Amino acid sequence: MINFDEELKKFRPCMEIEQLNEQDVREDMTDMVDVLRSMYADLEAESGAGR
Amino acid sequence: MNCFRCNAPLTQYNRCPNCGADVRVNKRIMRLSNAWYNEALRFAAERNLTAARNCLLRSLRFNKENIGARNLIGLIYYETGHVVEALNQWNISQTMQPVVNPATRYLGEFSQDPHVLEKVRQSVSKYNTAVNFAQQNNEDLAVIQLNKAVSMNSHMVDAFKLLGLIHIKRKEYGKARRFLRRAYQIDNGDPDTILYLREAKAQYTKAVSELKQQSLFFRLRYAWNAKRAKAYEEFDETGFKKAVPRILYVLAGMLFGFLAAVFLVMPARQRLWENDYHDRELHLYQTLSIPKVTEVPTPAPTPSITPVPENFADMVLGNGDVFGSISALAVPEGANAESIFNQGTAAWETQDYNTCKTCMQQVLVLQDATRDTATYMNALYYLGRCYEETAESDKALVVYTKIKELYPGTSMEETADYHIGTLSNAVG
Repeated sequence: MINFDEELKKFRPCMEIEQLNEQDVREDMTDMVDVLRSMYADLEAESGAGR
Repeated sequence: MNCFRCNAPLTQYNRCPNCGADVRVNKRIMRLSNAWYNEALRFAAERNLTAARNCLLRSLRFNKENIGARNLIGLIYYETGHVVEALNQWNISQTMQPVVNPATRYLGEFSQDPHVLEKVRQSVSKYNTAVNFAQQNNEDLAVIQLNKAVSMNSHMVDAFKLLGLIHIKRKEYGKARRFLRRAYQIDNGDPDTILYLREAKAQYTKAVSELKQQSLFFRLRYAWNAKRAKAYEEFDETGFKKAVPRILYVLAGMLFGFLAAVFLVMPARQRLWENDYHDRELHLYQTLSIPKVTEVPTPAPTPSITPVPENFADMVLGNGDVFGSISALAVPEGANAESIFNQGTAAWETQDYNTCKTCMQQVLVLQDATRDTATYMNALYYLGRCYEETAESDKALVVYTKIKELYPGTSMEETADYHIGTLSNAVG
């Protein structure tokens, strides 16, 4: 049997058009390429410091 | 595919031709992103939009610049009614690749028609209001807002789902199934939709079953089946021995009914039919002014007929009281006017006009005292007709005139008039 109140909690308000630009800014756009790039930069920094 | 370090285009080698960086991991990440994108395409073709969206989110997590994946997730958002999210994804896509990008066309369609955006804004606003109402246990208002939202945006899966959920709570399972089926048609992979749909179907079947059990028809059918099952059981147990008396009772009942119909019902019905027939016949005679011929099963003994003198007409013309004059004529004792009349009508049927004439004359003698009887009147009529047939028009005219005199204002008078007219024309 479905618990109505529990199911109702799953429903969240949709994004309004007025929030469109804010959402664009807020969204976490980090991807695996960014992570790779970051790791490579760290490695380069470490190797530069070692020299 | 570009190098993650210097953004130079890569070749088939594992090193960047520009900066010399090892790009094996970079290439593997790109391949994984594309693999998730392909998987999403397969799901989207099957209308499993939830699974497709999840695959695309993973694809974009590997490579945020996968334009195909970003445009497709925008389309999926748009299809499931999340138009603002769709616009967001297409905006990002257009920013990343301003040229040769389908997202430009998608956004262009929205910017061309401002009413579309206004409609989207209103539908989202109504949906959000409905969610608030539902969470405050104000379901009536929530349903109203949701109905408005789905009328503006017919792909709003979340609105359909919420409508279905509210109707399940209200035990309106038929309505719930209708809304949830619509959500399922748009996205057949949404686990919530599937769960609600199953629940609505189960509850609907249960409710129908309970209703059937409560209905009179179901109870009667149940009772009948139970009785029949018991009868079969008894028959199996005791066999033919127990069934024979029942069959005999049935046969005896049928026989009794048949005899009752033959001896009680049918005679009464027959009498009714006969009475009805006689009534109809009498009515017909009265309407057509035809003298009624009464059927006599056994003719009375025929009295010896004494002919009336041939100067009958002369007597009529003589003193104007033919009946007084002819009353003295000799008629056999015990003679019955009715039987003589019937004899006369029988003679009329066989065109024996002389016998008929004699019989009618005797009837007139016998019933001279009571001239107002139907037999007397009919006897006069037949006498007139006999004179007509035997070409004695003068005598016929005398008789018809007498009829007119004795029975004014009756249909017989009209008949006499008619014959007088016919005879006058013939003479004239």
